Amino acid sequence: MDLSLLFAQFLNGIVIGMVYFLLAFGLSLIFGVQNFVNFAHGSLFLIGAYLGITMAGRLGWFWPAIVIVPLLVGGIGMAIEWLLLRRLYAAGHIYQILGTYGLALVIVETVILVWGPFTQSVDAPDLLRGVFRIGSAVVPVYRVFVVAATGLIGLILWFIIQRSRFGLQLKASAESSEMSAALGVNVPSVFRRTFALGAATAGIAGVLAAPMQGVTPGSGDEIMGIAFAVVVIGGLTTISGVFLASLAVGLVQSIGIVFWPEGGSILVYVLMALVLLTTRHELASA
Amino acid sequence: MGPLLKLKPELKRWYTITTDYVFGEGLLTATKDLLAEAGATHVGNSYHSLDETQFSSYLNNARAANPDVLLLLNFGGQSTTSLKQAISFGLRDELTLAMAVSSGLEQLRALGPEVLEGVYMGGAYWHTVDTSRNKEFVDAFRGEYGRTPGTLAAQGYEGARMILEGVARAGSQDPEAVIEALEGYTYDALTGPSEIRADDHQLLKDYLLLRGKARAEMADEDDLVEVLSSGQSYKSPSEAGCDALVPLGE
Repeated sequence: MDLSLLFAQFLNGIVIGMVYFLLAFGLSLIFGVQNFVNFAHGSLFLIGAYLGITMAGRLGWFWPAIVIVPLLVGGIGMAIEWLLLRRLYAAGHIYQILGTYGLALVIVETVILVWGPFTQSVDAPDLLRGVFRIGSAVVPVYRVFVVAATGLIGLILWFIIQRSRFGLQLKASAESSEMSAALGVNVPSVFRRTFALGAATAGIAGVLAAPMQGVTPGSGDEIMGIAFAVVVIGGLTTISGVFLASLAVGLVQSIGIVFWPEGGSILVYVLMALVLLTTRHELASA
Repeated sequence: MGPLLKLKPELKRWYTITTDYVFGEGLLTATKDLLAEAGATHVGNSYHSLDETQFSSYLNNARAANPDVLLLLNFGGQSTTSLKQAISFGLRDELTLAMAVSSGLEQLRALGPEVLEGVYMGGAYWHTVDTSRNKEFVDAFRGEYGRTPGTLAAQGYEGARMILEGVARAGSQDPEAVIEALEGYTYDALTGPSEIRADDHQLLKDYLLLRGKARAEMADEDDLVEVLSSGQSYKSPSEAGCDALVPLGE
């Protein structure tokens, strides 16, 4: 067995796992807190990626884009929640899936109208071009940056959830929205901000992923399937669970290709099926 | 990629990345045949699906096989993305990068000389092709639209012209008559003498081998590649699996 190849794929798996984490975090947050299935989550990633390409590519504003795009996508998320999704909370999962899937279709078609149907890509900023050589493995500098940035974002998210007042309200509302409301928590506002936080993380995942892989209008769907797999594998309880599951999925995908070149990308779903079969899972009983 | 094998016989070990559908499979089979003929080795292949945009794990696999050439057998946005990722992994410094089917000026402009420098590409058309018909076409197109025609513009022009010629020859607009009139039709295409093969309606025209220029070598912003060679290499109808023409739906 070629160890240097395994090492290279290990590093690669960590990088793609990081992007999965950013996406799966919001999905699991919104499901965990609001018991809401958001099929439009990949579309928020898509909006983030295209806004990032426009800002970083046409205007040359990569660094501002990292801050501004998540805020914009968070704002869009908030508007979507207020206009549409809050009306679906009481309607049950089937209506939520139908509603958000319809929304996803509308967003993808809008993206095609605005940005066109073809693949678009953007270069990493000059500062982050080039490669690191670790032994015989090669890792582009930009990908190392993505790992570092995601680590930092993960810490910020952990702080928001575990240490901030908003995090406390969020967990209380997830536990019992009636009791929280009785104690003076504005639950609808907590839900709206939770949704915005999830949307913003999907947005930043898009901005960070765009220079690594390019974006097509179908990219949101592609990555959503994997984000769902991560959420199933990692459960819906903690940030660290989602984080570990994201890394596991990235590594299984990347290293799987070494041993089974034709089928590496389905191994993730095999893993997901195994988890579903062997554990009594919240998602399965929800 | 045949001409590249002749041009650079020292490139012995080839790795391919292929889209997993009939177009990619066709390119892969043809590539394997060419390599076997030229005495070069196909050291490995990675398939990817039509909606993938993340090629990094395939690039790692390719690198580990230690090839002289990494040949991309995909198309359009996926070839753009996979080539960019190959460059970002520093593969250009280690091996020769080649893309079997580039889709013309629009794609290459989007990639830019920083990505394209030294990369070999196949292409159906390039505006600097040295034929008198092409010069007329490029001048007329620039005069009308103020920009350089790409492959899509050239193909649209040639296609429309071919149909008009077919109608004129048939003396009728009946599709069956036009088809018959164009069987075995030989003409001067923008890229040189061409023929519609009577047996299977395959268009036999020149295909180009291109190499990306460095920014410093470019005469103008569209001068992205050098045309290294131009020629025809087609399988016979039976080799291509088209022994009998069967109209669609029968």
